[in-house]
Amino acid sequence: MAFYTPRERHIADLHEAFRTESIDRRTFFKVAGAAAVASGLSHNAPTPTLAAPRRGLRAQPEANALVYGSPQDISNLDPHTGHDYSIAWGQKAVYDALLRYEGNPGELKPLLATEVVGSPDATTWTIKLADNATFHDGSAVTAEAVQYNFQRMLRKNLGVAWMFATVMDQDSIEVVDPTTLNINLLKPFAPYDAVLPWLFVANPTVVQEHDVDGDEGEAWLKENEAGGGPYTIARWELGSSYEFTRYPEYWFDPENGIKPIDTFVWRIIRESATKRIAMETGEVQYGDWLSPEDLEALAATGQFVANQTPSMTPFAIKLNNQVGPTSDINVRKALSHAFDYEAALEAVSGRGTIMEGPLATGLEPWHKKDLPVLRHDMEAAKAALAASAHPDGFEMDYVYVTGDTTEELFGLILLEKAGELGITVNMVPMVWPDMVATAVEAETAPDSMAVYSGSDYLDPDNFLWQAYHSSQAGFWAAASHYMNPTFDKLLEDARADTNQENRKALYDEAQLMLVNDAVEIWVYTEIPNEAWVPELTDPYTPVMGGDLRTFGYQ
Amino acid sequence: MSLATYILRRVLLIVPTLFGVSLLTFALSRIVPGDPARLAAGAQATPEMYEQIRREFGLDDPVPVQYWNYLSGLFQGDWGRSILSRRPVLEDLAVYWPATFELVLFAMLIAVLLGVPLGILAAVRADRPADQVSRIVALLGVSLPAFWLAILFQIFFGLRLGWLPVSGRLASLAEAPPTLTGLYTVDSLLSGQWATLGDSVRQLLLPAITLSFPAMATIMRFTRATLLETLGQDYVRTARAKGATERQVVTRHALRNALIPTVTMVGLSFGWAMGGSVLVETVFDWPGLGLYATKSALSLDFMPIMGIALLYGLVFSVINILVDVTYGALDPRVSRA
Repeated sequence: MAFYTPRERHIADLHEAFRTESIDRRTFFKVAGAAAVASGLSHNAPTPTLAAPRRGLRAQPEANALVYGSPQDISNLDPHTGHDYSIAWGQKAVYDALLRYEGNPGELKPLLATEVVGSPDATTWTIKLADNATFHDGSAVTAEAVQYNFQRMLRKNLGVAWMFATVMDQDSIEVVDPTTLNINLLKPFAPYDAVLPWLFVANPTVVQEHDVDGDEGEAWLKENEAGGGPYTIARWELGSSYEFTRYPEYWFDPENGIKPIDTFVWRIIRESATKRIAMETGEVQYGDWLSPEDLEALAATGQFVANQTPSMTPFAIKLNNQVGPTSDINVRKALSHAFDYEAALEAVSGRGTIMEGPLATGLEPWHKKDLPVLRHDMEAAKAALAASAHPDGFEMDYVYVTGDTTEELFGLILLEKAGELGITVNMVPMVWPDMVATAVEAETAPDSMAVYSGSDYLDPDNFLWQAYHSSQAGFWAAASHYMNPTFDKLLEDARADTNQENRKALYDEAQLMLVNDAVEIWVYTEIPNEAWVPELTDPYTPVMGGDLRTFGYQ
Repeated sequence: MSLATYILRRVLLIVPTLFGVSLLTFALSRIVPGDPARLAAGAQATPEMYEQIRREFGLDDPVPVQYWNYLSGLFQGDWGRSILSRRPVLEDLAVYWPATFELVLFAMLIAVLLGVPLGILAAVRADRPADQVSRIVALLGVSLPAFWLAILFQIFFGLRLGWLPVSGRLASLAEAPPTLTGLYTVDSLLSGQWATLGDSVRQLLLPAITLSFPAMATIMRFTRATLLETLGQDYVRTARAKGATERQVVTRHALRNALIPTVTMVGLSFGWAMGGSVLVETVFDWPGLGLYATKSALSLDFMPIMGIALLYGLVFSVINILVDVTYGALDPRVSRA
């Protein structure tokens, strides 16, 4: 049936063309930026004067409530199958782990475990539990409960299991008495205590009550809790906000003199501009993933504190050490010298620290201070290239995450400087899953690939093993496919020794070896773009996910 | 053909339409590069963890088998599971759909309540200042990008004036209404939670106004055009000759006929507004299907995307049937043949 006159159809067509117009994210921000400039929200313009006093700005601190604005969802609260930074915020709120990190750099502190002792060869670990720890139903946290949680985590083999599954199995956990466990590892693992903050302990009785078809409560635990942590869930509005309320009978006192927050709300706000407005109007007290402009503008109001602490998250340009021109050590040295590290830092508005080797400089005491790192020096770059098998230059790919402007800028810096050496850099944007897939084989791994590595446990093993041990080759963090049996031996020895001085010596040697081999271009560790109201004690932690036990309103 | 037969025939035609939608979206999801299992396995996953996820979600089966499993699942109420959240897609749709429906419903309400009277005003005062203003408003309505308008509204009404919240469906510490329909305004009204009702309306205003703009502009111009055309008809001249006042001519004689095409436009605008809600939901963090679709697309989470496409296909089909039926009811001259 025809309903339209030609004129009506034209209007309808116009309308449809508008409605179906696709707008990419960059265009979005360009136009949004123009709008912001036009209306005086630009960071170059004075902060807009509000017509009415912002009473809301003080309302939530006074109510001892904290609203956290983040673009990321808490998609799965299950203590054993969910694992990312937003999930970790929620898990730490409702569950207790065996240990916890506090301060910056993070220090291991007791939580459910009062004592964790490893054998000198790092294969047997004895865990003593607090005798007053309870779950939210009042029942005691026993060694059997902890054993069940270890086993469930290993059975699920998702989330945090990668930290444990290579060194233990279902039979590794031995209950000695109601408050003592022995963990008999399959192979030595000296940083075992460092991964224990990731074993969240759920109440086995509650979990089993919600078992559906043998899923061990997995479906239920995505949005419900069975923990004993300082908070319980008050509201779960999927994809929007999650409210946690303080559990008044919480058994643990961190003894840091901080009054715990009564209500914590995780609110999903995807766009930085929206988050900034929500913070300025008092709807949100703590925001992350802000654009540098929004962060600067918020700090300029004097009503927010911008985070100034670098993360432990290294950004590196992985170079293929096995195949192609970058398999030549002199080419890698040439590229490392050619890269302009200061320009890279400027590209992120100075919000970072240039790396001095493969470990973040803040990873004390493990980072080796006097490494002969390769700095921007075009003469040295030319000399290194002249000594290589490709003195006249070559063509190489730089692979980065599609739409990641920071990684793109780093690639452009490499492109410009390498171009001066006669090296042609092809900018290749890719979606992350494809990047991961290409890195699997040395033959398919790109010549160079932009990678941010995460920090799950604050030990050099977290960064060095996953990125450079030959057993990890093919894993995205090990996209450089570095193969060095001598280096492998150093890491294996460091895993098999609980003496920290011995480990420090081994890791020092390992870092030196990586720098001498110019394995990749270590660029910087970022300072996360987070801001919070000044009434909060410093909430920032370099470990994934914040811990509400460690900060509050002063 | 009787109305019932007509409706039945149109409903049956939805089945092949949805089959086409499912085939197309499934094919597209298998053509686009990227491996959702790798993304879902997480940054640090071991190869065993990755393989486990592929097995669990049937991604290791041949593609035709995967499609057959998907199709047979649909008929049993199993729309697959999100590989990222691991939740059943149908459950997610049930959570996110009411938010989008509420937003689009309010947007269309605003569009009709403003668009129709302004269109009438523009028609009866054709080529006078009111008409010129309405023309400018209409031009802005169809030409201003929704996200740009959204940010301007946020800055003006949220930041500068401090009148309205800029994101979310409910204030952070507000009490949520019990889930009756999933529409917060309706649920808080039914349960007598007046504070929540006020809060949810405040939250709804900016995104709904933003979303209503293009529809309002189109409805306004449509109403104007059709009313002007109708006012030139012979029967209207006859009414005037019989001594009817101009108000009577417009409201009693011309408007009903003039509004028939507008009804069609309202129905179509409803469907367009659903599509347009993606941008508006993103800027206002409105937890609806648009936001869910964006999140799923960015994560290569194909099952939710296919589920959303099916749901949208279904809604569009139903709206089209309703529009056609309404049109036929309003104008008996329209044949259902």
